Amino acid sequence: MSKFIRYTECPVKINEDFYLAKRASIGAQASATNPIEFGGKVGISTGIGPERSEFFMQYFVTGENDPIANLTGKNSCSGSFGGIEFSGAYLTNYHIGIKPYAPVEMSARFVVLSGFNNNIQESSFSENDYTVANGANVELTNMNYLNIGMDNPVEITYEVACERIPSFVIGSSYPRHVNLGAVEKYLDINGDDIGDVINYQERDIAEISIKASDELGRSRGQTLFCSGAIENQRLDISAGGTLNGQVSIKEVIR
Amino acid sequence: MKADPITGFWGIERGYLASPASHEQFKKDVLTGTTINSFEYEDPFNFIPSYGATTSLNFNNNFIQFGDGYSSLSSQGLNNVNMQMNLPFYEREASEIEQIIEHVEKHIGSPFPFQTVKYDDLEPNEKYKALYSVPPYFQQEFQCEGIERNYSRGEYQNVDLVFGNKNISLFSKDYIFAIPSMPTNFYDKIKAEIKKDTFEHIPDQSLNETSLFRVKKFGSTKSRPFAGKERINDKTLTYDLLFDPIDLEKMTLILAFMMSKAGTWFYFSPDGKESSRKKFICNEISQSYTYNNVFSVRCRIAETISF
Repeated sequence: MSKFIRYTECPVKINEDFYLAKRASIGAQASATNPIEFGGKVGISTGIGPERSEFFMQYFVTGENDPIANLTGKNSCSGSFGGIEFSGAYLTNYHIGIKPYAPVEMSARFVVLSGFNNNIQESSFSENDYTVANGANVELTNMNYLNIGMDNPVEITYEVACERIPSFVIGSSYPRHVNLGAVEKYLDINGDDIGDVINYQERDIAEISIKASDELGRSRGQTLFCSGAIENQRLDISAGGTLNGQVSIKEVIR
Repeated sequence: MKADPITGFWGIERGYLASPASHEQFKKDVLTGTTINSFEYEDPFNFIPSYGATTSLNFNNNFIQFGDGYSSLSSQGLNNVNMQMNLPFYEREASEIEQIIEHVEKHIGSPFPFQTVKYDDLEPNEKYKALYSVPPYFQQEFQCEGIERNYSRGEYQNVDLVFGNKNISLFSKDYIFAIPSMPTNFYDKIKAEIKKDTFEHIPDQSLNETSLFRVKKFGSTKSRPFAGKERINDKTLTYDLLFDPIDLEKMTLILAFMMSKAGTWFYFSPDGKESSRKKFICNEISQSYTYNNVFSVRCRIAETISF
């Protein structure tokens, strides 16, 4: 029997914290093949590798800190949304998008390695009075011409990518443990030209910090830091448009 | 230590190989006992390998060629099976890798038991699994022949071990995959499989067939050799049979059949039709652990022409 459940809000729970999500999705992809015998007889579909499950959410931070930002290490998390519960989830991608006068939007992507418990049901966000970070209230440090070759950033995206390497042993469907591989931070800044410093490629920069707040100046999410080196620079110009610059910074953590 | 006055056997303690009342009782205990008593290996290698592990079985036989293409096989010895396991241990903590290497280096040149599940950790009806090294092999004694270590990242590392066993003999080869204490249904299927003289499993569609031509050759030191068509038996076939993916039961039946025929011929036709079947011998088997209950097996078989 199918159900049509309308969501006014999109509440998601990660560990013990509720999030005001804009969108959340969960999916699983099987690694399966159909053996075909000599003569053409097709056998039944057989799983030849672990199921790859992924949970993705776009959300707004409504508290002083964002606990998801602390999941870039070795710890796993559990969660639920729309009645689907999952555990053994590891953060693979943490992303923040900052635009002028728009709410600061977060997104997180998890790989789920220990299955689900399904019981589709309706739920709602219990917080009545909440505020989110706004692009107009973001405090930037070292985001200037001398450091990155740009004085007026317009759009900022910050991303942490965490490689997860599951370790399987013979006879087991689920990994015995999950190793943390490479962790890298990416900071992309779009702004009003990058002037005469387009040759800044591979230049190490002073640490940049980004602190987002709501309209009342209350902190929303941790202060973000990124140092590393300028990996990419680009200058765009188009008929009827303005000169735009883009700077990409990459920091390798491990 | 004295030999048992009745049986003549030396130093056999009570247990699975219980001191028997007679030679007939001894055979019954060893070959037909349906329960195994508690036992514990001394210092077994108990690390479970990662998926991707492979096992190869090679059969050492003398191939005797007669006239007109006829041939016969003769075993090179009682222990004519070479068993080799290539065991990856991937993404393990450095401390586990150190323990693995320490264990095998402690036993350089001497065999040690390989047991991935302990007797005490199994349910009563699964105690037989304590006799596996890794399924489906009831073969516990191995020597480590080499180590390859990769320092991928400081914290986690990979190591590949090569385990060898040359103890399988013409007498024990039928007990590598079937022991009486395993589930009766599966045991009976394996015993029935090894009694067959036809290999009935249909391989994967990616079948590799090679035809070798036998020609008459005549030459002298003063001229190039002359080759001509043989009168009879001028072509023999070689097949590379792949079974992928298959489950544990099918894999065990394939391996048990080929192992039982180590040194003797069997009938086979790729499409399973009796009209097109020919006599083959198996030289080499390679088996790998894909994921969970999924395996693959590759068998190289060659046609033999005999009466």
